[in-house]
Amino acid sequence: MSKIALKRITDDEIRPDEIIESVKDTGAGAVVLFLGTVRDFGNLGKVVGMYYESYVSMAEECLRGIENEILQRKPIKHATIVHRIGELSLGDISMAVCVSAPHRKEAFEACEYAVEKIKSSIPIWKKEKLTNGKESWVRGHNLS
Amino acid sequence: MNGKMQCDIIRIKALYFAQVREAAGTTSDEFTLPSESTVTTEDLFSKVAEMHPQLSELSIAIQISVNRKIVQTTIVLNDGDEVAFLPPVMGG
Repeated sequence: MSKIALKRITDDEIRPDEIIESVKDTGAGAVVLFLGTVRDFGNLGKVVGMYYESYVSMAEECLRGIENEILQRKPIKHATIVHRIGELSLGDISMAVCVSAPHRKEAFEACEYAVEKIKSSIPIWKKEKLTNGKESWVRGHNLS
Repeated sequence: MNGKMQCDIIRIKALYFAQVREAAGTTSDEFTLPSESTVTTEDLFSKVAEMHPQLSELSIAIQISVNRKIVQTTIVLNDGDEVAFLPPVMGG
């Protein structure tokens, strides 16, 4: 569990320092932080920004579920997942996954596992804003 | 006159997201139904589709959750249920 009460779904800018602080542990020799950022190209060409929308109460439950799942993969110490919603610009951080563990291998594995789960099992949707003024929802997955 | 009448309705909240929200033109609807009627998720889907005909133009699969849990089959709804209509998801 994350040690600091952070909102899992937030309108605010994601601050990596806060996320790292939330998983610190004297028994951890490894902290892995993954940041997803808004890039300038998508499925339909050049992108100028991204809009994220979420079913917040359900998404928060799902993210806490993934954190708990990671923590059961011993010997993970702490895990924090935060996803941003709203209008984001190029380079903005859209999500952060941070895991602490005694050794790097399990921290890397748990972090990657969480990122893959977030892509396909959280009620979040994103819309690309293209240079020609058009907007397009990114094709997604059915929830299981 | 025994006060029971006040409870004889079922309130269901329907929530819409992303493409579904845009097609419906709203984020939610509230449905009030007589309590003697049995209302299923399929019934609610029909009511929503009737109220927002633009939904039929969507070429995506829409999943339904009841009280934040995905339902794969038709279930009976209860008073106070929160039913969400969810397009395919993509986080990250």
